[in-house]
Amino acid sequence: MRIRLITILAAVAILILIIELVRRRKLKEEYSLLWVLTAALLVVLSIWYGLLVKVTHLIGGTVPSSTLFFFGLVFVVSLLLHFSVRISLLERRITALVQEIGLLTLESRSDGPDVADTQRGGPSDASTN
Amino acid sequence: MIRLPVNLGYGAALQTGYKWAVRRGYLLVGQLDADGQHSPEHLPAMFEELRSKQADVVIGSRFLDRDGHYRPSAARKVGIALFSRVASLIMRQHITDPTSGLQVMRIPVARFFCTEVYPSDYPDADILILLHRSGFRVREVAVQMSPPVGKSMHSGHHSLYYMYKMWLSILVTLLRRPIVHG
Repeated sequence: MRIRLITILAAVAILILIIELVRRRKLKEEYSLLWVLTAALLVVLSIWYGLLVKVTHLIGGTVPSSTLFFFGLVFVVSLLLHFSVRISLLERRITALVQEIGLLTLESRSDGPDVADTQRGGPSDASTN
Repeated sequence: MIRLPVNLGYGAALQTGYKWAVRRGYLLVGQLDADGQHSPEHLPAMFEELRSKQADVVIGSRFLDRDGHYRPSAARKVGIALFSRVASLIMRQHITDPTSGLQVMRIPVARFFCTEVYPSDYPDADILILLHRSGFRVREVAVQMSPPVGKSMHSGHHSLYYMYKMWLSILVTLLRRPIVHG
């Protein structure tokens, strides 16, 4: 019974930590979703042991703890994938911003409008990035 | 000259130039690598090709006339040969030098390149295939290139990653629904 109490406490602690991080604006709401779901699932599974056994039978496992590990791994992998997607997005934004700095710097240095300078101010290209 | 505060990669640097051209309202864009490989003397003939052949992009090819003046490293040669073959097959036209940085284009192509379709690292055969699928007409002309002064700007290529990236990029380009521009 002691192990059950420990897992329940740990899961609740994680849940509180995440909510506290969101409250202090250290974690954005959208990133917290996956964490909150996992923590909530942990709480449920540690209280309701029968569910874990049931799920273990359902997926054809033998030991309930390995079911926990399996879902833990699925969670970690999906979180990492989520981060990779985020990093790609951030990289694209940084690229666009750095390009903008370069373009604006040149624009501010060049004196007088260009001969073909008719479409200036039309940010049709930038909006797609 | 546009100075970028951070090194964004070859493709992103080119894209900055396209953005400049689009915003300034230019109608044509000519591009060449600044490592001494490309001579600007080729540009007028390439613009003429663009006009007379009704093309949207004209690429200066090192391999079109086989006089063997250009000798890349073995690994690069294999890569270029392979992806030229792949691009030629998909585009049903003879492509010999998809990595060439000596190009001229009409402004709709540059505008197209200002979107997220353009890679920040190395535009290659995948971009030619994308152009073809988007309805732009691509032509090649024979040019002479000198060996790069000092380190080539393409020397950052890691051949294994390059192979992987190109196959994946071509695959996803073919999987995407084409948006016809030209």
